[in-house]
Amino acid sequence: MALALLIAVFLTGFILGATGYIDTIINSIINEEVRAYRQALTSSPQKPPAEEIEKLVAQRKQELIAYWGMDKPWQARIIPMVINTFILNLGRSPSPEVTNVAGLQPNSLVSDVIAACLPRTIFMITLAEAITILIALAVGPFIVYRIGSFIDRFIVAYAALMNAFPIWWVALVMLLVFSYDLGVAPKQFRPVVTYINALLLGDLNALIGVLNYVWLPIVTIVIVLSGPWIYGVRAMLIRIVKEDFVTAAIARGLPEKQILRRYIIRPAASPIVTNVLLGLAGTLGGYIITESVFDWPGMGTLYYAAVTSGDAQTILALTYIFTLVYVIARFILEVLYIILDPRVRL
Amino acid sequence: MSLLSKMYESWSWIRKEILSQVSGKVAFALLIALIVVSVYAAILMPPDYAKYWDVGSKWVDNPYNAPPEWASYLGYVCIPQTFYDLRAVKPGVSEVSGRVVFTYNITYDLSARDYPQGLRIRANIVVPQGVRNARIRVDVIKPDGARLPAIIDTYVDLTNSSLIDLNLDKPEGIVTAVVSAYRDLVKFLSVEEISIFPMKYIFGNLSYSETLKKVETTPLPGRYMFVIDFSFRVFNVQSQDILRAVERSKEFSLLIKGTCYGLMGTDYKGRDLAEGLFYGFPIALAIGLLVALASTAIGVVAGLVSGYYGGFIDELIQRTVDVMGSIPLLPILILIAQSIAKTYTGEDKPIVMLTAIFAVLIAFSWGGLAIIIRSMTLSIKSELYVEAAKAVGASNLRIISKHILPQIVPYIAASLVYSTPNAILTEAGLSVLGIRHGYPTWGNILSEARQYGTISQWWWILPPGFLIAIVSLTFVLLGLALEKVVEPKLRR
Repeated sequence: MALALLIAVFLTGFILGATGYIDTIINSIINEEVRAYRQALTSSPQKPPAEEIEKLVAQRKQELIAYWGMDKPWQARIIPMVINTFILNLGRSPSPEVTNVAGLQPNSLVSDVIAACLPRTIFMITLAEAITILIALAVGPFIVYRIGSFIDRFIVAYAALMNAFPIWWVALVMLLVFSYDLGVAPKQFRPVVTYINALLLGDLNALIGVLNYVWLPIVTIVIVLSGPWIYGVRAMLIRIVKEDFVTAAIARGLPEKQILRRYIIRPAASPIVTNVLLGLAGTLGGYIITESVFDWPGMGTLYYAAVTSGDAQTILALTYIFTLVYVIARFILEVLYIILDPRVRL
Repeated sequence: MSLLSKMYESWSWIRKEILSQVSGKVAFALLIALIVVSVYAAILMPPDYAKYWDVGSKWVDNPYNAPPEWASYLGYVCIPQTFYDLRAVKPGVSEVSGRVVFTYNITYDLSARDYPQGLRIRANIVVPQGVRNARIRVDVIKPDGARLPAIIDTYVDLTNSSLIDLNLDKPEGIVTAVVSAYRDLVKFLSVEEISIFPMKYIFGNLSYSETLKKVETTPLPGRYMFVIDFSFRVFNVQSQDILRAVERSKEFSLLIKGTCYGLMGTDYKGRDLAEGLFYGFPIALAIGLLVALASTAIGVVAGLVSGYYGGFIDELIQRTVDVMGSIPLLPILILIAQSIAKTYTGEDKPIVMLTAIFAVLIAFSWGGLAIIIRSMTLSIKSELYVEAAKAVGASNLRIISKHILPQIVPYIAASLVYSTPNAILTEAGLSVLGIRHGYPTWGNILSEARQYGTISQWWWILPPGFLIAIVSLTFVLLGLALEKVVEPKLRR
């Protein structure tokens, strides 16, 4: 488990360094600053002579190179960064694009940036996934006794259809219809930040404002995800319904509810809990593409901004956290299995 | 041979099982349709398709950002493309003081209340010896009787193919023409406004608006007359010879660009989306199948080795699968694709990026299958008939190919089917994010729609998404049918 964490973060650092991506980004930052410095020198009232300018510019460039550590190979810069990430010393984000997603001042702490974006992802994606799971858990047991009926066939067809449509494309269509054609949903989703911040400070009136923005993304995700989720729960339950002990229970004439509770739900609990927990844990990283379509300032958009602006510090921190969340979820599952499945205790 | 025949037996059983279900039948029909269209498109695909799509010379004639022609049924104001082949038109011939003049009178009916997107005259003519120079002049007579003189008036070099594009080349001509046609409005006309979109002044009704303090235009439907004078300064040449040369030329045409185009409309460069979507079929299928085949092959080999030989190698493979499963795929994929997009500068960048995306997808998607194959191998290995085969001296290879492989064929098929749409969807998703490899896939068309179009251009956004969904639906349905083969418990 810890090995996975180690490898994920080192792999990320390796990709950033070995492809030369970080160097390209830093070089362009240095060149830009040097250019601006030269501009400032030549346009100042007491303009120094040309040789003096060249000297000053070269000196400034050396300072910048030393500041960014470009005089050392990439390993010397990335490896300390990776180690710092491990001890949760996440540092500051040098990228204005990244801090802008969070709505913070440039050069803010990466931990603050993540703390700002995480609630927005929870309010949209985790919430949507939770609603989807509730729907699936309600519908699954209902149809498991009606396998082959019209409603069952409909749900299987719906699940197949929704498996084929990517969420981000349905999101585009929903935007097209509800925001642009009908005008009942917002076109810009960034302003939701104000309401979520107010809500987090305890202002319950802001809830309406949040709902006004969040309903379309949530409806989109629920529409797409409920198909595969219901199908998944249905499949897990069917496997158990076919077991001999269920047939025996039915033969004994036990009431349907009791069979469902004692003989079906109980053995199906571990696989269902696995899926629920891993699904919910997965949402904390945000849906990168879907958030980008809605321009929703959550974790996915944050990660994408970090990648496009080459902010190694934030990329490493996010990769670490994404993997950490997954590893923790797996650990919790190991514990839950012991509670849910008596066979594991042996 | 026996392995092949066993595999075939297993395959025909799977096929029969799939075809016995509704979803399987639909999936098979869709799959065959997909393959037929893909093969057809692959045969017709122009060589160096990426370049053809990117900088194809034929796109300049198309209107840009144009909805499909059938959009007129949805309430779009639709002006069709109108093309006049002037070679087939008999001109009036006159000769004045050393010049031969061909006069073409072309009528154009504008029925929709909108402005055509452009006007273009093209000539590619080899003239007989003795023609000194040639000149094209176009006058327009509008339905309200106003005559715009010389909206085009230019000397043409006939030694090479020659392009005269009214939209781009010479707005001055139109400005002068509009000013001389509407003398009463001359104070209020703005040269800039005319240059920005001259079509408004050619195909519009001009009126002075008191409130806006400037000249406004409204579309003016009706019959337009284009008077095209094609004149040559000649020395010792008969006018018939020139006329014959014009009639036999490669091209001499007038094109009035519409506002709608073809079956699927066009994008911001005037590219025919129908063509892009059509050639996207084999590319999408290739992307999906390539990744699916590679990851399935790796998964099968890794699972067999891990389960059959056990020991250190088993431990290594299991750990690898475990670690890979914990690392989030999409973030790593985005990071790698973006790093390459920003640092690689070679000519073959699209292919290099696609290869890298494939490699990551393959690396992350073989694990699940490997675990299944491993556990199946473990249980088959301990069966009595395998023990017996070993006792009589069967080699490992023989046991794997004769006893194990045929039993895992359904799982191999299921893995192929499940991972095919994954690759297609991921590639499209990356493109939509804005990480573009540049190769003209459906995802690429979608991504350009997001970047260069507005969200209201549905003909640009919806079709690529639908096609992606149909391809993945094919495989999802196939998977649904296969699921019952792989898991007999799901059968009723």
